[in-house]
Amino acid sequence: MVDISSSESLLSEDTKINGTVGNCFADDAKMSMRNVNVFYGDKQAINNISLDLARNQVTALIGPSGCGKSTFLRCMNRMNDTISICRVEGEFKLDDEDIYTKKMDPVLLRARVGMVFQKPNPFPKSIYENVAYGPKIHGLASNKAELDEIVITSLQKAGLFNEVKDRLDESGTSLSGGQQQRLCIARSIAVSPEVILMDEPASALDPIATAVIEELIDELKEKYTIAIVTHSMQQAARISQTTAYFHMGQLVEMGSTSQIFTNPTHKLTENYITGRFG
Amino acid sequence: MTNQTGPQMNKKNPITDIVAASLGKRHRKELRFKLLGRLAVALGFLLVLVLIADITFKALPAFHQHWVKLEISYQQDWLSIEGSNRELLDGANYRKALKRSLYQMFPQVKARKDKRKLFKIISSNAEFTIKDYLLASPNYLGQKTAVWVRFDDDVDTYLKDVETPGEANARVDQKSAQWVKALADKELIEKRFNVSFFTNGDSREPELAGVKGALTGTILTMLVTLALSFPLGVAAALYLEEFAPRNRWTDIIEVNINNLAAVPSIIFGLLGLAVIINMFGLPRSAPLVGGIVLTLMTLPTIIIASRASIKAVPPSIREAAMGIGASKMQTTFSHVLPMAMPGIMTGTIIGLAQALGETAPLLMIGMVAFIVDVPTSISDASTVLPVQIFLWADSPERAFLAKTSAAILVLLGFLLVMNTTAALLRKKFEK
Amino acid sequence: MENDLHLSQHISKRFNQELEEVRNQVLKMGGLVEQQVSDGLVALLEADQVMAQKVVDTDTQVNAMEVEIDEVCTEILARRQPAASDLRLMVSIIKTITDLERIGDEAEKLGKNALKLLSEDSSARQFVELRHLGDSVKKMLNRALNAYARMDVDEALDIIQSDRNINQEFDNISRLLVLKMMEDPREIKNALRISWSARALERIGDHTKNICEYIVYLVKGKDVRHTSLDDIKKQIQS
Repeated sequence: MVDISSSESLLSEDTKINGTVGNCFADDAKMSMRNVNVFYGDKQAINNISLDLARNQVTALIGPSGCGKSTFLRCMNRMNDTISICRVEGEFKLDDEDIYTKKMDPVLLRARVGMVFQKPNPFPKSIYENVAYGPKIHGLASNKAELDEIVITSLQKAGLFNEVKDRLDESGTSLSGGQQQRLCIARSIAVSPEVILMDEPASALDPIATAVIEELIDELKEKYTIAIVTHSMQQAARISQTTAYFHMGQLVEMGSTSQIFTNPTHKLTENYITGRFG
Repeated sequence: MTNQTGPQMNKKNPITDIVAASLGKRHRKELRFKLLGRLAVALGFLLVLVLIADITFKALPAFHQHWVKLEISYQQDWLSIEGSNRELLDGANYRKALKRSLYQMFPQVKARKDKRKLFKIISSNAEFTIKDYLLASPNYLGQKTAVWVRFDDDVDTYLKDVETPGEANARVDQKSAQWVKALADKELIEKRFNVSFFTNGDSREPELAGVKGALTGTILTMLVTLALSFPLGVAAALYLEEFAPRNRWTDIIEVNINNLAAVPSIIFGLLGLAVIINMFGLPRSAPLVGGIVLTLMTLPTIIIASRASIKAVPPSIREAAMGIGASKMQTTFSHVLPMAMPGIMTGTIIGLAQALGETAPLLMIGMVAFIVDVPTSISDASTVLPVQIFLWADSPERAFLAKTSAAILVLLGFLLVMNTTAALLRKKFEK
Repeated sequence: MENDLHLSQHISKRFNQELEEVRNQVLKMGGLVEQQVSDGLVALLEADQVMAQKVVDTDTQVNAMEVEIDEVCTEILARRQPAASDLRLMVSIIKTITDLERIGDEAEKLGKNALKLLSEDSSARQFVELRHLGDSVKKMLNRALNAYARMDVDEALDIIQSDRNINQEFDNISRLLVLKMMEDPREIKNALRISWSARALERIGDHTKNICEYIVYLVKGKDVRHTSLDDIKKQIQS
């Protein structure tokens, strides 16, 4: 059928990465990253990536394991600061404000750019305490009534309030996986962030819980700018407006989700989303 | 056979036979190991049981004491006083009154030598007993009244050993035995619970020696150790685990902490003597110094256990806290530490239990001294239970044998209380 | 098979097979329809009753194939959730078989018209223009199916362009038939039948053009329907 040698040479020609194809800049960018390089010791994890997160949109970062998408996500709220061998170069701007300057306290940054993780990780405290913790440490509520208000609205926004309203003092870890993840989302929106970064938020959940989370993400984008790393291409296709495909620390292609999933430009993107050998 | 490739082969899979053949052997191996394990557990349990039973059995006599009812005449001439004011009563010669009263009860004893022997069957502490009795109710002055006093330890032991008094033994001769028998016949002897064991400090006289001094010393020393080693250990562990950069220096510190845990405890004693007592001039034999020395010894244990426990806190919790903007400090103290607490407590208890049983370093700083008074502060001279046990075990009087065992029981009891408290606290934290 | 789709490179070998099978089925259906058209033309132009009946009968077979391929595609969509080129392949197949089935229907019309003409002792044998139109359409269909098999976009564009000629030929035939009918009103009935046949051939040309548009969509990911040819070329080059 296919002449192996010729097809291989053909492939290697097609799969070269010469910078990003597609449109990685947004007209109305909430966050914009330019020429980002990230190193772990001597190893370069991110190679000259520039992209924008469009305001009030869901941007999905997809790519094979080890392609740097999670690293990139964690750089956006300086979670990688805690890793001593990690070195970040390039420009990260949140509303035209550079987030990697001395002036920007990472604590403040993380209050503005929240994060939801792969494994639901509620604190081993009560549901109420889980949500109230953020507002408490930042002093967002001046009295108990205000704190109650924040907790309740956050839980409502996360679509969890009706399920837990009678047991707010029960431990957060007693909830089901999907509920725990929504609790974590409630916890991060309790501090009223502007951007929410999600690192595979539904990968540990069953399909129903996943669907609930996806629906929630779709609603949340009305108020927040969202970046989501996901291994499920269908999930990226379902919830995002823009998709960025990462490969070996490079941004191969970025564009509207419908374009990426029907007619990707780059051969590598095509191979990845159709499940072909790359 | 060769063309039979369908998934549903009728023929038996050859693998089945191979696996089945080895199954018996594997199951037997498992069974053998289970039996071995049970045996080990049973043996260990048995040994502990034997130990406890032996100690308890040996300790039992120490919890009882024989008292004798004496007719004491508080005659002023016997007390060598004229008058009845408090000061005079305090300085009176109760020894003489006691002696006279005793001789009156045994008029047949005439010889000086016998009289001295007769007086010896009563505890040397008896004069203080009758003094206290009179001071408590001074209107007995000039009267005759019955007062219970302790026997001497040899007689006490003799009474515990023999069914009925009368025969001589190694420590009590024929005459003394007869006198005791006479007292017993008149039903003047009573077996009482030995309260003084728990209320007295150490004494040369076994019938008077108690563990209160040592127990207080132990509690004070442990408090000092806990107060110093827990915050220091946890702080060190938290810093090393959460804040310190990973470099050559922290590696060296880590290796040295591990080494420190293996240093013989007597070295810490030497250090305490040289540095804490000689250099800083803190008092010798004090629980404060003991506590500091034991802290040095306990610290590595607590640090190592705490670090392991802190390391076991899932990183996702730290990320969660940091993800909503908690500072490193807030993350550490409101999430990491509470979650690591049960493990830290376990480490602390192990360390303290080790310290509790330690004698060697305390010998070096003078806590081995003979101290009668019960310490009231951490700078008073005192001793601790293990040292007390060591001292009593070393004493020639037979009555100390039971005391030694009883003191061991007290030590074990203290350990049990400590562990239970820790377990309860742990449970509270785990919630 | 040389094409741009690399159907055999999926990590799932089973998926490779499924896609290959469904593609082969489409080509087989294409072959069947092509034969049907060719037979229809023979029946019509040679007044061959047996052939005409065969064309009518073959239609059942074509219809069954359409249903079958539809089912396979639905299953692949449900189970594999194809994306990008695989998704476009599925979409283009589902659309292509619809057009193929319509072509089959038109071929059947040719057969039926042949039978009707035969029953009235008439034939289109002498109608050279119809023969010419038929040949053009047959050739166009054949080229389209080849282009489909080879994923040949250039050829597909060429075929889309050639549809204009077919339409022109159809217009010529219509004009001729009108003249004929005016000359001899007794011929109106047969002339109408021939007109319908020509109409069927023209429709086959349209459906073929559609198939070529799907080829462009499949390979280039661009929807070129209802677009002028120049625009199409511009889009593809961009």
